[in-house]
Amino acid sequence: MDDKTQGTEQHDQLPDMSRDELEAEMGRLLGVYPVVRFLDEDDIDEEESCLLYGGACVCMRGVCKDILRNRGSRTHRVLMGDQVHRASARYVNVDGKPGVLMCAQPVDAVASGMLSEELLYHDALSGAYNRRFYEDNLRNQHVFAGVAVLDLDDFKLVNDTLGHHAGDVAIKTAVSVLRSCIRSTDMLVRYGGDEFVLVIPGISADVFARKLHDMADKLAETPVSGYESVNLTVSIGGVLSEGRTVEEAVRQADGLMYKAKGRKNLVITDSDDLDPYEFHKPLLLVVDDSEMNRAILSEMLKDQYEILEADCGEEGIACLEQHGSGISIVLLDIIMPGADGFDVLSCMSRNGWIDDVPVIMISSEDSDDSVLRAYELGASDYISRPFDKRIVRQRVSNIMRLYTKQRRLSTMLAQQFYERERESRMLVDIMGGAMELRNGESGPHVQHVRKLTEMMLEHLMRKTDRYHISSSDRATIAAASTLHDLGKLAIPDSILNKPGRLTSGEFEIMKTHTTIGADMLEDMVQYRDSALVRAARDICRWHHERYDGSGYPDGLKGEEIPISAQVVSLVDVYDALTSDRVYKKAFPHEKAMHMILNGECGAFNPLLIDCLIDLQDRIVAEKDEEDPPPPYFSE
Amino acid sequence: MSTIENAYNQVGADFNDVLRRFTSEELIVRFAEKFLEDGSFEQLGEALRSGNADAAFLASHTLKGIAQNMGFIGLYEPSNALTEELRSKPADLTRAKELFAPVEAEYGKTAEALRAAL
Repeated sequence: MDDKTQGTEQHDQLPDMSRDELEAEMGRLLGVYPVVRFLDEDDIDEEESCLLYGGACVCMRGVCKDILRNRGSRTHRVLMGDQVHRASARYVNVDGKPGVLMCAQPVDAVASGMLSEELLYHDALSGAYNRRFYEDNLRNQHVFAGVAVLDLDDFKLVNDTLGHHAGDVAIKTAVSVLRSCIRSTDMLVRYGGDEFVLVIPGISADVFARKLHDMADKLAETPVSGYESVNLTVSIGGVLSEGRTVEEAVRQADGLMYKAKGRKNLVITDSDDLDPYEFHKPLLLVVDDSEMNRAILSEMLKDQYEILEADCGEEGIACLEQHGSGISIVLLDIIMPGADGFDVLSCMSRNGWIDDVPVIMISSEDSDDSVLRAYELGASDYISRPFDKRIVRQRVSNIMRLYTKQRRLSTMLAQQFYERERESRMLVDIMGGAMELRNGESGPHVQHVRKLTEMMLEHLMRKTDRYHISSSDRATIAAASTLHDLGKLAIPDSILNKPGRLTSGEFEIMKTHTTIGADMLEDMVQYRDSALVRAARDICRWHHERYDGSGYPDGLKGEEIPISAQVVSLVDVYDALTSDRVYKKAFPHEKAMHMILNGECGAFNPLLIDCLIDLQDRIVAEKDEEDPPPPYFSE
Repeated sequence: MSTIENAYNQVGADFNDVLRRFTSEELIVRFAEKFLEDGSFEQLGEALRSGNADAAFLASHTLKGIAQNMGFIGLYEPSNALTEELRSKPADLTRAKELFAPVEAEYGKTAEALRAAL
């Protein structure tokens, strides 16, 4: 028999029965349980050995006394020898006399995995009590206690975006903070994935409320180790149970928790006056020229939203300008004098408001054309007439919830994206810096190449669609460009940093930096399929190829050379010309351009030459900005 | 039977449907009062008399929407027909005036029944 059916059996029974009914019940139970006993008050006091099995097991005496006092039922795992037994006891009143009906059976050793109580009733990850403990020992207890439901804000987002390990660390951190705030006799239950139930017996309303606030504050202050971007905040609803069952108290606390969730990181207890939260009702804007329609919608929604009314499109736009994304949702009519609903939608999308503020159309224009046009302009939903109060409320709340979630998600993603991007940039820059040092190049050559590559690609994309470069490709190629001279790490110093002209033998060795770099990347089995590594490999190998096939190492020609390598080869040449090198001083921009256009540095893709010419003013300006000319008096 | 329900029955409107949508009789009464205060009908007549087709379209469109929300099916149908006539450009104002006659009759009937009930 599984726990569930057993539980149902117990809880469906009324505690009052006659002696006959008791005997019938015991007979029925004996069909399932090897041990069934009824004990009255005197039995429990007088019986010397175990109430269930004689001397062999952990005694249920304490449990029975507790049940006589507090009623309800308890289920315990009792370990006898190496056999786990499940023993249940519940309060019954037989012909007016209180007693305890107990039954027990061995738990299938395989099924139970020989679980000790610690394992059985504690959450393996966090060490808090688990849901089973709640179901078996707490749910039906009548208690005088502070009962709170705590829900970690955005936990699912943490899990989905940072991974389950982050979620696990967050849960562990949260539980250890929460447990540090309670006594060992208080009970913290991990009720669901990110939901906890806290039971603190014998506490006053004031102390309970203060304790919950302390917990929330302490959580918010605690960093999640390894995931500093995660802010642990919690929404809490708390009530005093006043002798009700824990389950009833939890239900009420859960309702308060959902109220708190509206703002997140908030504690609400039943002693709170909820009026202040009226001010935080979401703002809803109704744009409709008919006062009557505005009144109908306002009546339907005013208990949950603070309603703003606009009687024409212009007024609606003015409200949006004033409140921005402070407005949570817009209900919009189509046909209005002056600016109509479509005009309002267009204006919202022009200003980017439509991304933050959802719009539900409420017009009686229900032709497919109008509805489609509204959707195309960014409306989220359409409520047709005649209005039905429940449908209007449900639609509005659905769209609100979607948008709220999406808003939080995109903020979080943007932050993460930014952080990852920054870290990858940092690593690539460190790498580039190390190579610069090794190559003895003066000035931030690697950063220049990256910057110029980015500018050239951006311009190229605008000029032609021949190369199918997406903006994400562009970012990848720009990052990869910093690795173009990776292979120089393997070139002997005497050659790499030789001030004079290289002998032909030395030049042959120098040329191998292209293939060495590409091979290094190719050998990184784990990463070689990543877009970044693939782009870097192409660039390393082919950034000394020339458009007419005169370059090295492979003598590729024209478009055989990947566009990434073509761009890097040109900007590499330009930057080398305009920077100091061991073997030369920097040439001015005009001279460098002249040399490139003259073909003195080999042949390049004419389209790229055009890009370089188009961009030259910007390139010079950026360079000047970067190295301000030294003050003349210092010369 | 409540007086407002009576008024609905008198003009052949489905009171139970409106009650289901608005969830309380109190709301229906409040909106019925608003309906009597609403100026769309007067604006419509005025616009048609002065030959302003655009204004007539907006007013009849509003009146149609209100009638639909209030569940006044008898008023909704002729005002819908009038709205569609006025939507076409250029609108045929002679035809529109013909279509206004049943709107006027229904509006009168509805307003009278509501005034008696409120």
